[in-house]
Amino acid sequence: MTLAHINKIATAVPPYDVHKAFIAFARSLLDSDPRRQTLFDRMLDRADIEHRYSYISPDGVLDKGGIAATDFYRRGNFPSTGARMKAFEAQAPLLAQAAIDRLEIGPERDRLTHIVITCCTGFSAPGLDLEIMSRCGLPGSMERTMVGFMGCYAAINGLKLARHIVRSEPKARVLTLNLELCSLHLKETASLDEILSFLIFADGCAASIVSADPVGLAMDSFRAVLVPDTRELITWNIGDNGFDMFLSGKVPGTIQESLRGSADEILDGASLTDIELWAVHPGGRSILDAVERALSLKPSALAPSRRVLRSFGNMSSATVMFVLQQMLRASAGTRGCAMSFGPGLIAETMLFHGTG
Amino acid sequence: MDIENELRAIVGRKLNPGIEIENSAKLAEAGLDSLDVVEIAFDVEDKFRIQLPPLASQVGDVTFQDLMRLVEEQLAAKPAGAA
Repeated sequence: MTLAHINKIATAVPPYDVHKAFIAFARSLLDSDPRRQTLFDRMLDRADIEHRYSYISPDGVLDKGGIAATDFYRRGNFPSTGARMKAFEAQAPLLAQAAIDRLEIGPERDRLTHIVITCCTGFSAPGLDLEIMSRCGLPGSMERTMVGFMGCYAAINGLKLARHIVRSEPKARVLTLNLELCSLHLKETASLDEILSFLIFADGCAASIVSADPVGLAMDSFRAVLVPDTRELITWNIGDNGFDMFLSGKVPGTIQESLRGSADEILDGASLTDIELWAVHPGGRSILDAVERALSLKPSALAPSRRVLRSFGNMSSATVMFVLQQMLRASAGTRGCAMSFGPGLIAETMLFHGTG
Repeated sequence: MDIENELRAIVGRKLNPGIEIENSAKLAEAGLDSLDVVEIAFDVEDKFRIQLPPLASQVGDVTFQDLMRLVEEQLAAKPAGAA
């Protein structure tokens, strides 16, 4: 059976660092409640995030395009879902093109056969697939698939699909794209749970090439682990004023318990000590801590994930690809495990090995 | 360090005056709201310079005795000389 490889990964984020501005906004929502403000500040200390990016310019300066925060997020009149989708239509292609340009595929462009896109933060039709193909001069013959609304683990689902494509058509060259504009779904809310989500979610895009060429990371196997009776812990729904996120405080503990019990299943016969590379989606610091404890990993094991969280925040489906990008040159035979968590609650996992 | 007394002081700050929590009582059943519970978890982490496991971040679901045990375990797991 043909072995599919992630040959290249390129990443891009929008131009404006909005982390401090979003924190100030969150604090303003808690103005009348000093107790909640203090609690928010303590959680902020623990978040381990320093930067997050968006096309929404906090100070209104638009030298890099985008939209002014005061124009998009008007107090007392936050945008409707329709307005947010219009912003998505304007911004998403820019970010996608930035990531694809960084792939530097050159003439290889004409050999691309499939495009798989994952996104849960915006939709339109004609959609991002056609927009990208036009902007980036991609072959009109490419087969297109949008993987929509799967949440943070969608990149793993996208890779599964790319692998199936290559295994069934060994000459296939799949462009996968994971793009999220989470900053388009900010809310004016007094709910501390919702406000805490403003601490972590951000915008980003990863573009990859998957093919049978033995370069990069070979995808060995995939496993999805569903944790029973956890359906309500992570939800993402289309509301009238953007998409509504709910992330229960029970998620880290649930992940820790379930990983302890399912590690053998995920590792498919390998032992923990066989795995040298851990590409764990940094859903938040507490989730990384839960994985570290559950699998008794050394603190250094999740350093790549913590670096991405600190530098970019949680960019939903794109984030695990930012982590994998750091591992592309892994030496031949080095074994790795990627995992992302999302609605279900499900852990989507992938075993891989280096070919460098 | 007297772990039990330190923990009683932390929890006691959130309870009504004169109320003490029994070892077998869950914090959630001692008249504390969800914010109290999160604040207790943070206060425990800051006081003992430990990180509570995620399960204990829902300290409302554990008994006071369980909380003591968690703190003891985390303190024992700290490398010697660690802050």
